[in-house]
Amino acid sequence: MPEDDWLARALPVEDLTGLEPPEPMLRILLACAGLTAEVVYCARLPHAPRPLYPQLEARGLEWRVGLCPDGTALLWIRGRAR
Amino acid sequence: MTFSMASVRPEQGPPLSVPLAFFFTAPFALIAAGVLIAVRGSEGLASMWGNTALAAAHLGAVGLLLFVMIGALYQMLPTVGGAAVPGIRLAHGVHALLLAGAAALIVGQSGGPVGAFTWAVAALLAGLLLFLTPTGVALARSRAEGPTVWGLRVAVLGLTAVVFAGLRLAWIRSGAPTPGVLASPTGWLTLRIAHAHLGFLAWIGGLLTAVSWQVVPMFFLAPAPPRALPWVTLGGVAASLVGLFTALFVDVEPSTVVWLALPGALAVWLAHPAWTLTALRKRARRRKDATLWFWWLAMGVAPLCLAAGAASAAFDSPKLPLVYGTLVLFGWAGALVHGMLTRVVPFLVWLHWCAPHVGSRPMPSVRELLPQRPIAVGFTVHASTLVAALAAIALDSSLAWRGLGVGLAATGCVLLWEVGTVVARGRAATR
Repeated sequence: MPEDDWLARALPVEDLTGLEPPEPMLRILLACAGLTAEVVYCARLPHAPRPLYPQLEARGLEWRVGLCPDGTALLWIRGRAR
Repeated sequence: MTFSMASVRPEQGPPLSVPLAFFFTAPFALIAAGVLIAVRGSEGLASMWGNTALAAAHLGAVGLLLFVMIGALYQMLPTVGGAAVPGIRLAHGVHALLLAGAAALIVGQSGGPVGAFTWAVAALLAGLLLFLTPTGVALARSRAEGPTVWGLRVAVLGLTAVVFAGLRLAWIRSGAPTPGVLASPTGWLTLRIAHAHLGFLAWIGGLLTAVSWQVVPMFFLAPAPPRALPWVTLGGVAASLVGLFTALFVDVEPSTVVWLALPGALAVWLAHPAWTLTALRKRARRRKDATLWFWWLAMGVAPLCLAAGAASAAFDSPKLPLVYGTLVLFGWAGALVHGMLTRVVPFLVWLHWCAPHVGSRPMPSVRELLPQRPIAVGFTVHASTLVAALAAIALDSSLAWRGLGVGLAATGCVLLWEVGTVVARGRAATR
């Protein structure tokens, strides 16, 4: 997926696996305030954060989710390119 | 690592008004059951088949559990099953029809006019068809393959079966002619026992176990169940569902029905609590959480349900079925549903109302929407009322029954306070 090379820019990964819902979502939404297309935020979550997707969509953010073999999920978010 | 990004879409759950309408009905059912018992005293409570006992049991099974579980299904299907329920706005029609049907059923069962059963059959049948049809479509369309989705499927089939049996009972009580197999001396009792166990195990047990495989790891950061356990549990529930449903059509002794219920009972009241208590003991984050107390209560009561059910089948005592029904409806499922509401309602209100504003202005946390104190009060009142119920059955005095009525009404009031507080605080924060 060459259009997804922005995923490699996301460092460090914020580990949110030890938080109860909806704390991971709160952290992510706070971190996303003011994200641009050049700045990528990445977090590890205990599972795919389905309830978060409509919030990201409503904020006009671009995101990707990767499911890991241990059941956790990696989430990358950036602002949409104008 | 598997990338799911290509299929990632905003999975829209129902509007918040849909689950909330169902969740808000539950406290009123508890209050109604409490008022009914407090007014009647010991009248109609000498056995499980007494008027007051039947009406109170259905206020619990339908008014409390059915409404909350249907609200939960509307909420869970899009998020867990990845399949939106078509025509979700019809859910408000389902709510209205079920409310009318449940009210007519309670009027009929508590000694009101026989014609109430006809209205109950019509409204409940219409409401459940309006619920089961789109839900069935969503479950059939769902491409999710985990045990939770299969558990939801089994539970919905269980609901269909228990409704079928229940409507037959209500139809006969409305004065309609008794069909063939039910005309036998034991047919009526067989139908009643099969109806109760389809409800306890296939519908309530099927849904509560399936939901807990999802919410226990998610909300309490506990380990997921071992791979085989959900399938073994599901197998037990499904075996009882098939057996009990078949018993509705053939002339079998009531004792046979008890054996048909055994696989589901072992799965739901023994295997499931064993895993849940182990998982909760291993939870990653150990902070004070009053919602956990409901889980401990329900999981502690579950094996007692099995014992009480076995005792009811083995000994001819009118009190044992009352103990059994109380433990199942109020001590096990009722406690679990009460505890889940104190966790799920704040989460949904935060998700729908607060999350859109995060980052732009301060929003309350879920613990600020519903602090620990009201939950602890709710648990104390719920657990005390369970003890009062068992005492009332043992003593069988009018005063003890009236005390139980006050306890049930108080539990309903506290539950209303809990969910009402969340909605009021959520509204205030986003105004």
